[in-house]
Amino acid sequence: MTDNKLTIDSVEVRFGETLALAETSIEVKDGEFITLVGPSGCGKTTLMNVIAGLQQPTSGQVMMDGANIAGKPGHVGYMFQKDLLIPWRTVTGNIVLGAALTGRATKADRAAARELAARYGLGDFVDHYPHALSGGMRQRVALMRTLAFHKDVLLLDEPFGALDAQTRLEMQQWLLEVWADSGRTVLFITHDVDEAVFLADRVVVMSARPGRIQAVHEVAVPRPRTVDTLMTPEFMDLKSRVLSGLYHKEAK
Amino acid sequence: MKVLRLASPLLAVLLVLAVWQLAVSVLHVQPYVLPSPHRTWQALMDDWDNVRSLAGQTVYESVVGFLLGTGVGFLLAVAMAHVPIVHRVLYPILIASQAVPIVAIAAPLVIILGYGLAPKLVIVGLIVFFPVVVNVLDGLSGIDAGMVNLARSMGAGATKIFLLVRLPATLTPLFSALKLAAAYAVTGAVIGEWTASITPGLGKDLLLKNSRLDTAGVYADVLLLTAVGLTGFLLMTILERLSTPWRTRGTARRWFRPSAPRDTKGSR
Repeated sequence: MTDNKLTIDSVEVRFGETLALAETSIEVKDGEFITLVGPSGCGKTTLMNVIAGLQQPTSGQVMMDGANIAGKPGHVGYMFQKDLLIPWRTVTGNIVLGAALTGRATKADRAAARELAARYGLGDFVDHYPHALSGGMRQRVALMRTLAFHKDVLLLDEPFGALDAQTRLEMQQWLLEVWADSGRTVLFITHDVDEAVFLADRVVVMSARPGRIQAVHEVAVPRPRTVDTLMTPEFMDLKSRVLSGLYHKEAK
Repeated sequence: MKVLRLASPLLAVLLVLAVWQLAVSVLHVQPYVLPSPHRTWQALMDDWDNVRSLAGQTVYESVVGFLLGTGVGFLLAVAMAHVPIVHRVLYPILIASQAVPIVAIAAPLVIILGYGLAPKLVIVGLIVFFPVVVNVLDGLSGIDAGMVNLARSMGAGATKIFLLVRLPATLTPLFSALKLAAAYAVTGAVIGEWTASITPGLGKDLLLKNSRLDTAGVYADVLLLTAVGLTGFLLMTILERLSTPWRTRGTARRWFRPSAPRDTKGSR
């Protein structure tokens, strides 16, 4: 077979009469980083919800490792724009949430969580409650929680959307580092074209009403990428192509 | 700073006592109208053995009624939050139950339940359960839907989501209600004793002393009842601090850190 990790095969979602997501197919390679950009209402989140199992597709399937996971929760790690940290659990407690919810958070889970926190700079905060952390730290914890859920595919739905520009850039670089370490497959939603191009192997551009894939761009910019990457001609060129695609579609 | 924070309630009590004493001595109020703090204290001490055992009875009624009322209130709120039809049927009834004057239904309660402990418990329960229902219901419906979605996306079942996500979210509003309820419970017990009692209790004692124009004794009873209510409130406040540490602390308590390899640095 192919080296595809995830195959989104003709997925379509209707809410009553409304077509929220027109027939969509994406093939995602193992370890690939894909970003989805598009205006609000283009069905990005709906598509994520289908993959995460929170939403049944009207038709189509989502194949992962040879099984259809569409509408079945518990197979991928899902991270949202809001960090959704549980206020009464410490950083460690939040990281092991997946284990706690699906069985029992063991001593080993907690030790692994502490190690994860320590590796990514939150070692001094493992016993802190979320309210004592900054926005960037909270999103880090949210990503660690997603990592500690031990799923090969991560869905990140505008995870840095609520952060200030500077923190966001830091977080993007950190995410690339984590991604390189972990070898996970990532689907990342954003409406920020810079972010989309900076992070991705491929940028999928979507258009709204009904949501559908409008274009797919390969990002040939070499890794590792740094802040300087943002100023290179390849980056600028691709960014303008993605932007113009988005703009044309919206102007219509 | 901390000394000042702890001392300020004490100062407030002293202030009330001072105003009280001043009013009595400056305005030359007759002791049977308003006894001085000193006289009240004297009356409390003189009748201590009697009053103490009566207070025990009233405390018993308050505590049992409190536990029953808040327990039922909590269960009702959980049921209402999860079963829409229960919510629709019960909510109007609950609201109506609060419009009924407690004193007015005390009499029929005696006819149904007799003069024993039962009607008092019902009265206390009726008074305390309402704030619990309303607050817990608010807590359960105010949960971030995203949090529940996150848990669902992880493949968690309804029971786990309830235990780990929904239930702890009710603690904060629950304790707000419990603090109120602890103070109300004493009021409920006194009303119960006034209208539905042949058994002794502080409320009953208060009526008795009032009819004898033993005003200092009445005030002594009031003082004691206030102390009981305050103790309940304080107990709830302490319990609240212990069970919702994330609201007042930046980090978890040391004994509540599963698998923590000893403390590294102290914080806050």
